[in-house]
Amino acid sequence: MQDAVAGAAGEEEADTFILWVLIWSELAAFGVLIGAFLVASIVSIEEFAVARLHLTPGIAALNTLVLLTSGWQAAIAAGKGASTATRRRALVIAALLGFVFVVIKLYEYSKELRFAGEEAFQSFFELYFLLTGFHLVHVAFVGIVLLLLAWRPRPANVELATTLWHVIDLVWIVMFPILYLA
Amino acid sequence: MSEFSPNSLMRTWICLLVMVFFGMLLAREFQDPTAPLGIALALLLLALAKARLVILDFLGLRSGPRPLRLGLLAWPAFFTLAAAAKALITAVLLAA
Repeated sequence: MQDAVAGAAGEEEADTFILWVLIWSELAAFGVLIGAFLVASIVSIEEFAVARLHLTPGIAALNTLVLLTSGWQAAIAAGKGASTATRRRALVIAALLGFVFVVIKLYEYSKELRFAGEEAFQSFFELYFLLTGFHLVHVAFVGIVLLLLAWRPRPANVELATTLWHVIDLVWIVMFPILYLA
Repeated sequence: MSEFSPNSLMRTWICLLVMVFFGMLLAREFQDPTAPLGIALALLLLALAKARLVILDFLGLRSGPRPLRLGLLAWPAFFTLAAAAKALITAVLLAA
């Protein structure tokens, strides 16, 4: 009995360790891309300043609200005393808001695409689409994971998935002013 | 795993929403590339404050392992600092 408990605890610790390795590798990857964007925006100051005027920060701010609300629901799902029904409902809402984020971002892309072909803005939009696209894929993928988890919300799995969700949220919070505003 | 009660989480969420709205108001002023540097720095500070709340409250690291908390707080701090330096360089070069 004791061996079984110790085994389960060890397994959970290993899962958490792997999760944080994954999270730091994601943060490193996003960090490299954000760093590249910052360096390129110093090298091509005027081009980047003008290209940024073709973005729509209002839509991106709306998406920030959507993602933060989703993060709030994910935190409720991962709460220690949450019932299965609460976890399930919160995971579904978090996932659906993630999909709303994807739809809004695709709409935003449709408005920006016509400027991406202009030669002067090419390096700006290459980095912009790479960075936001990479983030968007993460939102879509983990959103699906959250939705699947809602079916059988085991607390350990919910904790792993929602931790990753918050980190994706964190990346967006940092990316948003760097890409659109500052 | 978050040890926050649903009410505390809601308070954090409301704080985050207020910060986003305040940021939107500031951003309206920042559409012009020659807008004051102070606005860019204020927007970056707001981003850092939002990141801090997500890490401490949503991720539940306020009472979590210290190295993990500090490491995760360092990531947004580093990039907002880098972005502030970039905004400063841009302002100086555009003014020259």
